[in-house]
Amino acid sequence: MSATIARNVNVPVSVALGARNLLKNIRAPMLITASLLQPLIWLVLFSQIFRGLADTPAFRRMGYGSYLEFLVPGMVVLSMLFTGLQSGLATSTDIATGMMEKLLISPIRRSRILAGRVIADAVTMLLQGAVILGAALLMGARVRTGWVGAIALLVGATILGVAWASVPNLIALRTKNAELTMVGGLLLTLPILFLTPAFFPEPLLPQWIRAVASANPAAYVIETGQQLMSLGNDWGQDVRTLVALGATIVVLVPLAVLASRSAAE
Amino acid sequence: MSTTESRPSDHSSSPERSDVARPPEQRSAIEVEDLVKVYPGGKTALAGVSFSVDRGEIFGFLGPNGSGKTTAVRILVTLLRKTSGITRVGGFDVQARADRVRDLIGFAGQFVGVDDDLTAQENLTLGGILHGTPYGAARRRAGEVLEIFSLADAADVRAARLSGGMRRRLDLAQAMVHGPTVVFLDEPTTGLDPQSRKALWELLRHLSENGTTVFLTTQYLEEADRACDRVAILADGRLVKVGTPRDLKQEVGGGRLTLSIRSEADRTPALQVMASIPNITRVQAGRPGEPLVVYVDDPSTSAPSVLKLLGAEGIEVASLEQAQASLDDVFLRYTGERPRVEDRVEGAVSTGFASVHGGGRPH
Repeated sequence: MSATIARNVNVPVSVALGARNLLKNIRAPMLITASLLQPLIWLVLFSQIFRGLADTPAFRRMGYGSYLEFLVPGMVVLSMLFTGLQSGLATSTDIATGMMEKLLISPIRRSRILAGRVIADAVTMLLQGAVILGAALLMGARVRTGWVGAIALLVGATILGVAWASVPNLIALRTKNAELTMVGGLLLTLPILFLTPAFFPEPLLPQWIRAVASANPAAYVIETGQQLMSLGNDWGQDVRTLVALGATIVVLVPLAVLASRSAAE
Repeated sequence: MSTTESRPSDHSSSPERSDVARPPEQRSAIEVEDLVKVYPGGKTALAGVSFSVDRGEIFGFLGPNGSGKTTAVRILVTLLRKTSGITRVGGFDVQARADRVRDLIGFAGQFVGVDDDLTAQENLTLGGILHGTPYGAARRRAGEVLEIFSLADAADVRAARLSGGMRRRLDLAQAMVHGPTVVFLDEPTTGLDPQSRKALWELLRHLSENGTTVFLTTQYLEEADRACDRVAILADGRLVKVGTPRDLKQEVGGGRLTLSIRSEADRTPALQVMASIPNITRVQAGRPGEPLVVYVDDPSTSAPSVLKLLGAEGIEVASLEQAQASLDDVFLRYTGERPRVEDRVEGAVSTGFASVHGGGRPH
């Protein structure tokens, strides 16, 4: 009978945990602000530094608009990567404060803890992406594919961000150490971003980076975002990106689930 | 509260939580047989521990640091896997039916499991929701529990802004907000001021009278003496003694005399004199420079005769102190060590209290 009760509140438990995680982001906004400010600063800086690139024949031949528009998807993805890192940090904080133990001895399924994390991460990432895109629009960028394209970019990047968040969470659950989570997550974040066409169009990248990028899901999301921003929709590209995201989820999420199961020795 | 009452497993609030509702073998709230825990590194924390705790009992687990108390609690609350043995809570196997066990238990560990960014009320409401209480009822229940733990004024204060003592109380409140049948408390009075500790013991007594089982670990022997129905003494991963505080104290004798002899040369003759006195249970010889501890049936009648006999032998006594036996003595006898000085009752309270309030937090 108590099992029935537990089942009846399954959805509220993950929502309650999600709300709790979001509330923490709002009440202690330092980290979240940092993960929003960094991409915003980069957006302003890099769009100025590389402005000249947009005037080169090679760039112009590819049909992109301004360099700012080209840069937006990479910065949206960067904010999601940072937020994924913070998701792992939040988990290590919960471990350190004993909150995780409270959750582990509650009569709820382990998946609810994970779901609460995913809900909070996804909402945070969507809002952050929207702020960065909004800032770019204020700076004069336009989305060629309109609202639909803008939303597709944000949703795609959020899915990538949530899947990526399994990595910092995995480190947090295995090491139970905030510093290691921070260092490990940061170490991976920038290579993931730089091994993509985030700053330079793919044909301008060295051969080896193009090879690595073809296995980097972030590269697919960013390239699709650039398409949606400046060139118009390309269904072939969309499908490739969806396959890449699907593969990422299939690989990463079970790892995080396994780690959360083994959190109780 | 209504949801909680409809749960068959919960009998804290219903007066007819009769044994009819449960099979007789579930009369024990906690059953542990031959429990062994060997950590991956090879360290044996529990080397075959057996005991059972009746429903409604307050059971104290005593032992020095590193004796395995916390390991036992963590296994019973489903946080740690045992190596071998049988562990049941509320009749359910702790490992195989962890889901049912989690339904029944409340737990406050040594870490304060409170979310700093949530208010006291939000923390407790979340606790209720995690145990299947709908939001509205969980919020109401949180309010009631805040009242019980004298935290009503702090309901809307974020946990980070609470004093150490208040956070500790909030943690304890969280262990009980969902009306658990079996409450596990790992050193619950650490960090509490004397008044809060007294209130906690009263609350635990009240819960126990209403059928809730309380399992706690402590190093505060006087408290265990006063508050626990039974205590178990754990040393090096083994239970050395289980019984009521009264039985255990009787075993070491009704009281003790602490004697300092003037001259160290008289130590051995003094011990010989003691050996000839009939109602002395045991003598703790001590090292040179330390006093002799003499366990006797009745300290007030034995003191004069001990002094007289020592005097007859020309042994000079510098000081003599008499006291009723306490769990300290039981502990000393079975574990061979006194609890560390800072863990002893009065010192720990005042230093703990001072550090909590010297931390510069408001309230």
